[in-house]
Amino acid sequence: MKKVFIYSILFIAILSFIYVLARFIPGDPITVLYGEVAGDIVSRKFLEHQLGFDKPIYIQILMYIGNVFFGGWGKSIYTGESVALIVFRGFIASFKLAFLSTLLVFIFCIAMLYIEFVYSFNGRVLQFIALVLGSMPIVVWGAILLLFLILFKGSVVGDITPPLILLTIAGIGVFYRLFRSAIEYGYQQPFVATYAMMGFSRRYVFLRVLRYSLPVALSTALYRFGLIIAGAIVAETMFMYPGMGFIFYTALLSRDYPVLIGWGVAISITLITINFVIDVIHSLLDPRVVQH
Amino acid sequence: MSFRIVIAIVFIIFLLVIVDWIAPYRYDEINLDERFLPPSLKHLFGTDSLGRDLFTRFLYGYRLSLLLSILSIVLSTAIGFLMGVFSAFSKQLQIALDSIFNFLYIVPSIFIAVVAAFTTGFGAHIVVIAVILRLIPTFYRITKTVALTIAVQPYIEAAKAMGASTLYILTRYIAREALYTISILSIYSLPEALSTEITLSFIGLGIQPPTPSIGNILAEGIKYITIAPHIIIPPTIATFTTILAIDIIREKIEKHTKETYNLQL
Repeated sequence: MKKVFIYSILFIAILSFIYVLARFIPGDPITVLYGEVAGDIVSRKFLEHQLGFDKPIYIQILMYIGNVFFGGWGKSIYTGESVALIVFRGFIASFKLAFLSTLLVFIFCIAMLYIEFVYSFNGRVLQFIALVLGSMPIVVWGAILLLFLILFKGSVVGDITPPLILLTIAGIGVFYRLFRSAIEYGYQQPFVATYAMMGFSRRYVFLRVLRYSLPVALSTALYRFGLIIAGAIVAETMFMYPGMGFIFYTALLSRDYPVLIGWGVAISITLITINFVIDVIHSLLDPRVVQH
Repeated sequence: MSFRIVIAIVFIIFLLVIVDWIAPYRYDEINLDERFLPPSLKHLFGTDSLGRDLFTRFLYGYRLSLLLSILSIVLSTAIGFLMGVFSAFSKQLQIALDSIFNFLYIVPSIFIAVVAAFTTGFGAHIVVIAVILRLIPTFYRITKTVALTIAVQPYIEAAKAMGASTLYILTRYIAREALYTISILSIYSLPEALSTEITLSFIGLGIQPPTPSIGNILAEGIKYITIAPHIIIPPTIATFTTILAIDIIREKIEKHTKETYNLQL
């Protein structure tokens, strides 16, 4: 309950921060924030009054937060479409991408670690693979993938597979190390030696250790999930996948301020929610966290 | 050990300075007769869509990207480190800074960078701002944790009992110990800074043409990947090598700390 309170305070603070930030953008604030274009003086006065621009700043912030809550995110300068709708569509697409990619990364990493620890496969080979996967910038992987696709397929626009492959490759590189150090830490715990002495199979011990390091691994995976929704800009723009990153890119190119601000708000909401979920899941999987 | 480090640093600085002399062309020298040429003796890495020599562009671009990354890492290390150390000693400061950095964790740094770009104009400083905003919270948190663990050590208490002032303890003991951790961390964060620069230049937020950077060259190479695949090769190899070098350094440091730890036991 206390956490809900803290997170909602954080949420309101961040929304007001974004509002203040948006007011720094040069240009007419009505256009920047809500995408309404008012030419003549009468409709301008009316809009200013309606949107609260003639009131003190804290009232403006409150009105803005209220607008965000009730879906009044303004409309796009170029298409005239509601920003909430655009962002929602992008969010669904990005959510799908992030979910699948995180799931794949998770499965791959567990499989790699299983091979390494249960069949005592040489870990350095796998580590080197992970290093190569993780240290090339995502742009480069995208370029290689793009070349392959152009050679063997035709059009790639809007398909989920290429960005999924890209994010999974990059994700394995980063995640494998974190996961591995968590598992290694688990193997140092005294209960592993006890299990080994009791004569349990290596697979059983590995599963126990996996359960032990699951909270850490799961929270990193969830964090990455949030990062993909927020920041898979390169992967999405390269293959024109209509997710959040692509929306950001097109809005940036066309200087579509309301969409950009809506993007920022949506990302902040997503990240806050994910942090909250991480907190809850972590305390469910590892009840000791609550006591500390 | 330290001698070798000095030599390496001097060598890197030498390489960065030498660019101005060994570059065969100007980085913005356009020659439309020689577009998309593959690598040859005249143009070592080939030419790009405007006939500019890619070898020159690569040298300047790599230098700029590296310098920007290092600059932003140094800045964010300095700020995060100072704030972290001081917050270990004042509860109010800690609460205030904690809430600010929780903020920065959640508001995407790229969003703030966009707003900064709209207000102050596009350019290299946007890259620095984005990297700093992304790195400072991490640096702050880790310095704070380290400083808090040092602050409860018995020898700090002994120093206090002998009449050392707070400032003395901060600079003499806590800052020194925390500096070790934070300097390692700052080396580790070079890949992240580099990839942030690449991402920003890729979406057109970062360094503006005609000034070359690794991200710019990569973005152009991807645009023309079907006609001129040679464009993306040099920046790719350079980034990969840089990150690999960082990783080797990381492994060395880890081995070194393990050895000293064993000695202490």
